[in-house]
Amino acid sequence: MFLTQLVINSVVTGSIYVLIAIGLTIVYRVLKFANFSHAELITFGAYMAYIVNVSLGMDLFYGALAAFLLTGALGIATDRLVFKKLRKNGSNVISMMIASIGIGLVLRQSIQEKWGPNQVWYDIETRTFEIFGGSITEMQVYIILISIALILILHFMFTRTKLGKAMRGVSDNPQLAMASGIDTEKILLWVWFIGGGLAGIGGVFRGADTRLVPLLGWEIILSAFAVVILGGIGSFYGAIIAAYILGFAENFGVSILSDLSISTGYRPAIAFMILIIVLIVRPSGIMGKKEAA
Amino acid sequence: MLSVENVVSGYGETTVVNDVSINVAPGEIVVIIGPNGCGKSTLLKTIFGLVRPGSGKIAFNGEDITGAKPFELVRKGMGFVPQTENVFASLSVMENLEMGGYTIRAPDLEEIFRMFPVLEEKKKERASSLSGGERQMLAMARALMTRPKLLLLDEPSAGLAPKMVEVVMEKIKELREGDSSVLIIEQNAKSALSIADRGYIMVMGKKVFEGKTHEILDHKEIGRLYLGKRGG
Ligand SMILES: Nc1ncnc2c1ncn2[C@@H]1O[C@H](COP(=O)(O)OP(=O)(O)OP(=O)(O)O)[C@@H](O)[C@H]1O
Ligand SMILES: [Mg+2]
Repeated sequence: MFLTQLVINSVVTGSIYVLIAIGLTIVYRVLKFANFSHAELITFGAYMAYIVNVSLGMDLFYGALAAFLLTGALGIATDRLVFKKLRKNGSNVISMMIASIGIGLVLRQSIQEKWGPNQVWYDIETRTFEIFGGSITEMQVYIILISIALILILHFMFTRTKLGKAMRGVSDNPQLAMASGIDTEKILLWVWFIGGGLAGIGGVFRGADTRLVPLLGWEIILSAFAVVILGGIGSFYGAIIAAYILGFAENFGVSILSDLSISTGYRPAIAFMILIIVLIVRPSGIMGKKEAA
Repeated sequence: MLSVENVVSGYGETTVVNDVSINVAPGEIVVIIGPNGCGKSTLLKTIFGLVRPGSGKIAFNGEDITGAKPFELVRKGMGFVPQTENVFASLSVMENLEMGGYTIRAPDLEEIFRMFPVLEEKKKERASSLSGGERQMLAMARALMTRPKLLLLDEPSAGLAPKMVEVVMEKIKELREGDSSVLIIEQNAKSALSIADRGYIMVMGKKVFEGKTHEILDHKEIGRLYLGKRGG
């Protein structure tokens, strides 16, 4: 049935957004600026998996693993080379944000130089299952399950592990974290590693669900920002709920657009509209308070 | 234990602490008193490595710690309770204590809960839901998790009801029995002086007086200016 298909597509879209948005959120929580280079971390991850999957001919699972590790490392590198220096200079969040746009441009251009502007595809099997009248590919099942698994792992990390709690402590109150004997710069490395790594995996999901282009990350970063704002900026659990809400809103929105014979090219505008409406009606987002969970 | 020699520090171009020397001996409770904005918090932050001194020397247990980072000082046995935002508001009471014990392998919670029973009752609650007095208890408890040899307290009684102030002062006195030294900053000078051994008076970034507690309490002009005593 048509409705089943919409629901499946929505959950897949939400699963692609969710890791990307969590990555964006945890970096924001600690550093308090909107990191636009997150878009290119997404793209970078997608292409790292391409190397492993297509150039080296290995399973995409290993591609995703490589994407996580290498994009995490790239996140750390952007911090060491640029953001850390800005922090030391006492630069404000606007400078940080503009620097992140610059880093994004450089990364995007480098990716385009290396792999060209044209689309490429992963080497994956496309087995399809039928459920309740809708169809879902094997890849989409993996996307949904891996996202859920990673959300659970992150939840466990933030609530049960010393590192995860320290990350929350540092984002809550950096000075007090230092006063508690926490080496905040070391925690920041982890924040960048995990935030970047999640962007990388999100890129692989998007690439596997569609195709790879140098603008891959740029195409979905607006939706990711909409998720973060809808969830309440800096809220981990808010971002999770919001990712799936936006997944549903985009897919059902597109279906409504085509029913009304309006071009589905307006799809990206749906995220934008939600973003603007949230900013007007409830600027603090679903879970947003001053002290977001 | 702690010696601060001719320290000058501030923010950017502005000098806030101007050539201040103080010291704290083992087992001592020392209080710094002074009017609003005279640089008391800045001095404490400089000792704790949150603000870099422009010049001067700070030593802890005979070791030069000038310019050392806060997390290094915690490992060396110093604890710090800031004046404001001194708990992790979005973390639970228990998690706050865990943050306090971050540098140690097996934190002794029993001891902390014996000293602050209310924290055990509320260990699952968010710090932001605590009352002002409970928060101050939590702030101190967090810093005490490492059993610091020297505790720096920035206005621990600010904003508390008189009864709570008394409780806080009692807790600070208990620390000395556990062999810790304490350096307190206070506006609430009288209650702090009632538990301290010695004190310093700071005005506009400079140390203007130092002496035993009774010397400060008996000093006519200081009494009039900083302790709210009337007449001469
Ligand atoms: N982070 C900062 N950046 C710039 N100036 C600051 C900063 N913190 C404090 N100051 C300034 O330094 C001066 C001393 O501040 P400080 O907080 O050390 O005073 P204080 O004696 O602790 O005052 P209070 O009793 O109000 O706590 C003030 O003029 C204050 O405006
Ligand atoms: Mg102060």
